Amino acid sequence: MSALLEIKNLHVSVADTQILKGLSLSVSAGEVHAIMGPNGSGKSTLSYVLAGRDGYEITEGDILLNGVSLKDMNPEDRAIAGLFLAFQYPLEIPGVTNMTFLKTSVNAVRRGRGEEELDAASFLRFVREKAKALRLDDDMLKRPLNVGFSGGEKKRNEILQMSVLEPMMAILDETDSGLDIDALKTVAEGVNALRDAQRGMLVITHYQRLLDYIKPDIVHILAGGQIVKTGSPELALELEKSGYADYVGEVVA
Amino acid sequence: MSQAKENIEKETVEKVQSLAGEKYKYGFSTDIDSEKAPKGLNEDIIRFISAKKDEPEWLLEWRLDAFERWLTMSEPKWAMVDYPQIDYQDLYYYSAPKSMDDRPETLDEVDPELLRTYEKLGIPLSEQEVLAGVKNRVAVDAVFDSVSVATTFREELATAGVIFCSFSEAVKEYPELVKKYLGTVVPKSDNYFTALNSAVFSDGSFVYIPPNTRCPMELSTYFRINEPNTGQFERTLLIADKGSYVSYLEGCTAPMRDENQLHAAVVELVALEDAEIKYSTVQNWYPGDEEGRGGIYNFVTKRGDCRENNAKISWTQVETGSAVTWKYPSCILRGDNTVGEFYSIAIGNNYQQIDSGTKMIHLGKNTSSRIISKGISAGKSSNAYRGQVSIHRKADKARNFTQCDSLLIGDTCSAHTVPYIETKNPSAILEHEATTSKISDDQLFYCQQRGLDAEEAVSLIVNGFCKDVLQHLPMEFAVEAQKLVGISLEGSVG
Amino acid sequence: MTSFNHMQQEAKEIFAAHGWPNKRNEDWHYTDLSARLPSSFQNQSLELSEDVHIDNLTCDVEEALQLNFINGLLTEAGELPDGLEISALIDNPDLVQQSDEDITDPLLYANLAHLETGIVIDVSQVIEEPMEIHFHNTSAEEASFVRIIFRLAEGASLTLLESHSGWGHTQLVSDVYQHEDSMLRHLKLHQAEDSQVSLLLNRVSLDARAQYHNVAISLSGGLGRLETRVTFNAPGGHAGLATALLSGGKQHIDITTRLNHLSADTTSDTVARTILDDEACGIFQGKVIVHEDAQRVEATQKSDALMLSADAMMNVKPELEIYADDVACAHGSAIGEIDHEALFFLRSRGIGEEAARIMLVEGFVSEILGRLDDFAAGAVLQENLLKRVATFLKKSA
Repeated sequence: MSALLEIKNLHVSVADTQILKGLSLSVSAGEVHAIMGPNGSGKSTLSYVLAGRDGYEITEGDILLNGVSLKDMNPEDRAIAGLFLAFQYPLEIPGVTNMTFLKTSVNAVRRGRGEEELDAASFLRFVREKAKALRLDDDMLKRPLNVGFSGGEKKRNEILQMSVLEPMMAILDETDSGLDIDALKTVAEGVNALRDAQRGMLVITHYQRLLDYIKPDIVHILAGGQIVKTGSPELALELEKSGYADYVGEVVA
Repeated sequence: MSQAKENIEKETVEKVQSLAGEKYKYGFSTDIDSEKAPKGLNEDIIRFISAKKDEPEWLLEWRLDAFERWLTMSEPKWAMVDYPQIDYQDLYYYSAPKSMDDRPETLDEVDPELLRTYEKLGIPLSEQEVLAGVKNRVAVDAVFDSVSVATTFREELATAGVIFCSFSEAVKEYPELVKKYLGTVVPKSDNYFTALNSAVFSDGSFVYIPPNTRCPMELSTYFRINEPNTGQFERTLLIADKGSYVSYLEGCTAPMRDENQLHAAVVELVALEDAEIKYSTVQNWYPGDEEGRGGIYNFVTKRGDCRENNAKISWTQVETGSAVTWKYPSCILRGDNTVGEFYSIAIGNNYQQIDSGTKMIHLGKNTSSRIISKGISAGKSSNAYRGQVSIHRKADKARNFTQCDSLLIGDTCSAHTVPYIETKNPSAILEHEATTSKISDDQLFYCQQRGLDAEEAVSLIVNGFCKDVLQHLPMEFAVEAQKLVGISLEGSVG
Repeated sequence: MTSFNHMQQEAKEIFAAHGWPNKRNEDWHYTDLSARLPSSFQNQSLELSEDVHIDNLTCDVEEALQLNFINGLLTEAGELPDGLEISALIDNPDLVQQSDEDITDPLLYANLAHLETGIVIDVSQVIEEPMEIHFHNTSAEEASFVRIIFRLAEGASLTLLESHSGWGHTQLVSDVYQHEDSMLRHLKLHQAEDSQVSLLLNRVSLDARAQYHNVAISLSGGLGRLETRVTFNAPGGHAGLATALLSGGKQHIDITTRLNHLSADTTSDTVARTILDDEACGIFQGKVIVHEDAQRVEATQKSDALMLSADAMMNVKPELEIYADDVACAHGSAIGEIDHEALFFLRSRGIGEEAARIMLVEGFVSEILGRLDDFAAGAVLQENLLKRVATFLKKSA
């Protein structure tokens, strides 16, 4: 069976500086992979280049989702194709209510996937049910997108978007950053509820802590723009003890 | 509780208002024989000044041209300052200590009375003293009324290739440099006061930093007005050649006199490719007494030109003196990636009037500017921030951040904010924030509960309010400025 | 008492001597009228033209009262409800000149010099029905000069919809006197042809606890000045001024506000959102003056602009002039283009680029449109307006 997400020898530069230097990785349906790495290893670059942000130039290699190259797709078409990025720093958009945003987004994706758009009433039912599971109250749906949300609320709102967009492949970029332990648990629960046999996930994190709650099948270590080690979940625990120093050294050498 | 607050407030206000002219410790005058040009302004006076300085013909022509233009101009009226009509024919335009007739070669030859003056002002003119002392080494050009009396550390600076001398000397010794740059940043007829200055300027400092040179010490000019009824019209020209760096400080004081005195200076800065100029001013001209008598009318045009790519000019000013201040140190961001900064503290007390701010003119790509202005009004003073940020059509990705905050102490003063924000380029990002408030009763009460008296509390809070600007001053100056902030508001703290 | 005719004659002389202001006049620094306007107006209609179609904002609003000014002349007004009375300004000359401003201010003397119609609207109680006053010029040669005085009695309230359309030159002065506890909700819709000159001056005087809520929306037109001056005479007065300016083409639209806090314990809140496309030039000049002894005033001003085109131009001058110490006054201004990060975020959620842009721009002005929630007939009105806004956005995206 071919992989759901396949990253092949990916080289990426940002403003003429090479950040990713031949990163390869593949995630099959049903799997959760974690990518751990020190600051500056290229974690955020990886998440942005997967989602198709401007200014991240692929100089070599490719990204395939279900065998289809994402390289020349714009961000919205990647979302329609089933890729979802939970942002490390979700954007605040004043004046656009969360509800309007969610509805526009869900219907754009449904339209793109050839599914029927949801009318106002069924959308409301649909989103309320999902929101309830994440303990997001109605008030948060009415407020402008992420404006005045706490760190935890923003991250739960990201997971809500993931649950309504029903992606094939979800990238979680430092989802634990800025969360206290209770908020982290709630977010992790939300993520775990979305794990299923058809869906792949890539959890990008600096700390092992998140992986206590979202248990990965496979752990990769990213350093100097490359995957330098791949192993079982125990690898994350080891790393917690020994730190990144060894790996950083390895690449520099 | 609210009664208590009221009492605190009342006390604060009284303390602040009790601040009188005698707190101005630089208010003494020096009794010295001076040589003056006759009162009044005409071509002959200009020829007199030029002859006195033994100037070349081209400079005399330059002055006369400025004078001709000045005659056709009128005083600007747009600033929020109000002062009686100045009689330009009732002023002396040139005054110099007689002993300076032949400029002394060494410090030993300088009139001891003059040296004592600077000693009293806390300005070190003896290099040995500076070397031996705890103070950081600072080269000083001391300007007394219309002439420069001494410039220290010249030789040591010369070995680094740095030229630091009085303007008059520069005209004689480096005429090409002066000719090349004079009036290229601030044109003669830029405004009424620059035209006046260009016609009658007496002395000032000249600085040239050669390419790829970091000036080995801080440079500073200390301006002193001594003679009554005499205008001071100094002119400073500072050129930082490619890849150089210089930090320049400027201080000013004047005796306490009941008459107002005119000061109209021009400062021109030129920063070439990759050069950086940091220009700091502590302006403490005599502000007048608590009834609003006397004080300096300070009409100053300061402008820096980031002429080539990656240049940076940073203005920092602490304005505590003068009866009327009219001053807008500005940056022309001509080269690509150039940076302009303006950090200002302006404190008005009694009847002081301040209209000050900056202009940031963005012409090049990726230019950025930052304006932090802190205005404090007490007594019956009026304090206006006036600033312009202008993004021209070709200034892609220009950035500006402006913050101007005003603090009011007492209910008889005023604070104004007049910003002009203009953009012709969509990729520019401009942010502007302004606030006006008073010291909160809660802050005061909190400080007092922790054992500070009202004066100390005000000084502490005001210094905190100014912190974003104070931190941009060179270390030694910052300490002085911090004290000055306290003194100009309270008198007893410091 | 000076007669109306005498005052108008005086205004004519002042206009002949001083004409329109140029940019040396600080209030007109960014909008030089002398360079743009003729010094005289010849073609003033004396009769109403027939059968002019007016696209009233309240066309779908039941019970709305409509007054239409065509080419500066009032068409027949329908029946007025109790508590609302209209009389002629010419019979109330004392309302014409109240201060020096009336003879020194170019907008005022020019208006009086050319005045065609002047009316006084007295509101003596709470009026439930929204009142729409529509101004329309039928051709480029038409110039309308109108003055309306509103007087709201103690406790009275009114929802006023003021709308502008057509060609030519429109100059309106509306003076609002609000007595204690009165409330005026004032919506201004400026949607004229691209050759129209609209000089709209709105002066408001607030007594104790009077509330003035203004939402101004400018969608099109040529040269426009939307100026609002509010004077707070007694404690408790509040003014909220919200403006959305959507400009394209070669439009030059100038939003000027002046909040004059004469009294303690008064509050004001000014928000302007400007969107500029094509070669449009937008201006926001806002001034807050807090007079001596006007303690505990809270006044905020916020002006943001979004630049959609390389040829657009924005000038902002937010002033504070403060003479009292126990105040909380602030202004903020931000100018920039569409936030690229936000755009990427929306696109990463499957929303196409054009839709994402429209969403961001709509979000940018929604704070202003949201204020219509408080207006009577709000829903219908909002929908009508949103349709018009959407048309603009679609064109710009």
